Amino acid sequence: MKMNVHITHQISIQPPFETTWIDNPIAYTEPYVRAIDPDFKAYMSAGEARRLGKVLKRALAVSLRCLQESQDTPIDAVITGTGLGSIESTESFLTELCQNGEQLLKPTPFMQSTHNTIGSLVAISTKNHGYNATYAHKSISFQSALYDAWLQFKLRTIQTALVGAHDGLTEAHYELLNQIDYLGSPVVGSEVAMATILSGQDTPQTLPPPMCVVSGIKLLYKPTFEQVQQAVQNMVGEFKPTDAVMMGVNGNPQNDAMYQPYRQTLFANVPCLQYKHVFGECYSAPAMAFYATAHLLQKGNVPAHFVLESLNGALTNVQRILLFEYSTDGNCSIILMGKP
Amino acid sequence: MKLVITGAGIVSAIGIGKEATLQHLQAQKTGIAPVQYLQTAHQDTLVGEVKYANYQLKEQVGIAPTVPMSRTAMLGVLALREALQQAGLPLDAVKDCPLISGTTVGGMDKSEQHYLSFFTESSPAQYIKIHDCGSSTEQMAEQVGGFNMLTTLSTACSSAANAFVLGANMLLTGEAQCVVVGGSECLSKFHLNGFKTLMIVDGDYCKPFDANRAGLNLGEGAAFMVLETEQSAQKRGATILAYLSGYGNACDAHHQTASSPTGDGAYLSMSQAVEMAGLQPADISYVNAHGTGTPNNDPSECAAMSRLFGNQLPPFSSTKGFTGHTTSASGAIELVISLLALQYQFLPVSLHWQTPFDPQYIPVTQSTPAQPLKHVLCNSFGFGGNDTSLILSLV
Repeated sequence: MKMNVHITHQISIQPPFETTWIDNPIAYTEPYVRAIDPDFKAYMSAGEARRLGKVLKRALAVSLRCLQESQDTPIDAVITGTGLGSIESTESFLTELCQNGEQLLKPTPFMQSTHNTIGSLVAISTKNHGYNATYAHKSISFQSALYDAWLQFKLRTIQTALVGAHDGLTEAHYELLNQIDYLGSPVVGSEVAMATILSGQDTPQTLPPPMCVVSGIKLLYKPTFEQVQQAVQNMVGEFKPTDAVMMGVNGNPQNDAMYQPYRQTLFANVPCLQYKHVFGECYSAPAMAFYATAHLLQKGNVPAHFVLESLNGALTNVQRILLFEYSTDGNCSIILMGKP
Repeated sequence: MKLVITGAGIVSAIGIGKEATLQHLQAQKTGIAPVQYLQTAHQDTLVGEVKYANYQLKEQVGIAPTVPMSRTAMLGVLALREALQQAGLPLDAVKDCPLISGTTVGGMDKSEQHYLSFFTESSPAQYIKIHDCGSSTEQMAEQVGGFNMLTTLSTACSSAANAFVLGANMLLTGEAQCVVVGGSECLSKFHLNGFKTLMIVDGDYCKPFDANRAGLNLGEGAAFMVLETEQSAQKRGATILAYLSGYGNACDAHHQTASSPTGDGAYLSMSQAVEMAGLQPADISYVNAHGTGTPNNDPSECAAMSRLFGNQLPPFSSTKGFTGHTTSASGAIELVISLLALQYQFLPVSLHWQTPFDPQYIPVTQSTPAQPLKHVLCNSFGFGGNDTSLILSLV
């Protein structure tokens, strides 16, 4: 089965809704960078913009942008991935609670703190009564959301889905994630809001033609080398000269060591690509691999700055890109994307 | 393809394990009591706590007192073990099973205890690592061993119910033959105070569907089930406890913390579940309602039931008077309760119910069913209108 990727947008540390990152990414060296926000007024009322935290505003804006381009095609499912949910609201409620005790707390930060506030906000704003779910499992949150959609396309219980991934990073939370060595120089801690509109086996005619397709997805926990090899082989078959592998390397030696054995063997003869040098690191970062791949496949060539090891620098005529993530906590995902 | 339940484990205020749970349900004995273990200023608040301190839970899990583990993960381990044991799944077979859990609190119980010291030189960073939802699932998996895939649903109070939906979809698509699904949530000051700011915590025992209901009592716990294809169960020679015959997920899309008066999301999730099971609404023998006891939830859920069932409502009750509202775990906890109701052919009563808020809507107060129970529908509704319904059917 193939899942079609029709539209995908981002708000991140690159200019919002733009694809200038393909040829001219903004380069960062700071360990903590906040997203570049669009003008939210185009997507929500001033009241809403005041009331909502940043993660929610970005999620709403990027989702609505995708929906605007979907020409009112009915969306059967809203599926969201987020590692930490509305971290600003959680932090605000938690700080008040710990500093001032259990009194005079305000309800709004609590209401906005649950992870599913993001997906619900999108549903409430668009009056969408369809399937709605949220995954919160570190850096496999987005892939879980995508997998959920994949299964339902396979079962034909849905025709279309809006899948998104959203994570913000406050200064305080950066400090905490630095302490546990998830973030910290040379890794660029970042923020991500990403959404995509997908269809399955029964694509509505109203959707724009697909940018690319997803033809396989597998989630694994602490797989052995052989299990990864098997999963890749089942999905890809033999690697072709027009293939590439995009992976979650980020400059942190511990993180990158997870990929090393695969780069040396399984992926030794295929160009390996990076994306976190453009979009940074956060639990929703793997969504940016998906987003970037969709745009790169549509374009057909991959600029040299993405390529980790290549004999020729930039890649042309790329037909398939395998997304490979294996984080130090043992969560692994393998997703095959290709030209339609 | 039929999906079957072959194992179930449960931990809540009414005990660890199905046996203690069944005893409390049949004896109509609540587990709700004034706060005893949670370190909170709200000492008079009635809650459904699991009656063990963290150090006692650590003993039961079998870890040293110094090992950092959230209460969410510990409760989950106990429920998981019971489910796997009943299903007769050896570790070798668990290696090929995904574990799908639902939680929202995750390790918040530890974060709220250590949050300010995280920003000092003696930061207990080991607790930062276990703060998020996914970590609690990973900790459970590590303790139990095995599992080839992990993920975590977080749709507030329907989280665990949605773990069943994903797991079932994996079975129906042939992505797995056997999955372990459920959820876990411990009490935290964070959400106790959160619910208090929303003014939906009853100072007295919660009274779902009562005219004088004034909110919920929070609870905690965990429940997991082994869900597999009928073929997989038969091949292993496992005893089939019940079928998961239908499920539905829909969004109320009305408000972040309130249900629509017409119960749109609830009506949709229940109808989808009934349709998927190939049943008529009249075939449903009992509804384990979400029934939080908040002024808003109960009439909304009743409106939805009326839309689906017409004038002939099946017997319905809320078991939150026993366990308290176990939030993200409630979908799994109440499904295990529904399973016990099916297996032992009794109707769990709505504790503390006295006065109808509407004469149309009288919950179960007598546990002897008038008709044999065949199909039980279990509702879980979350903030943001994340509504999920599951149906268990007798073998």
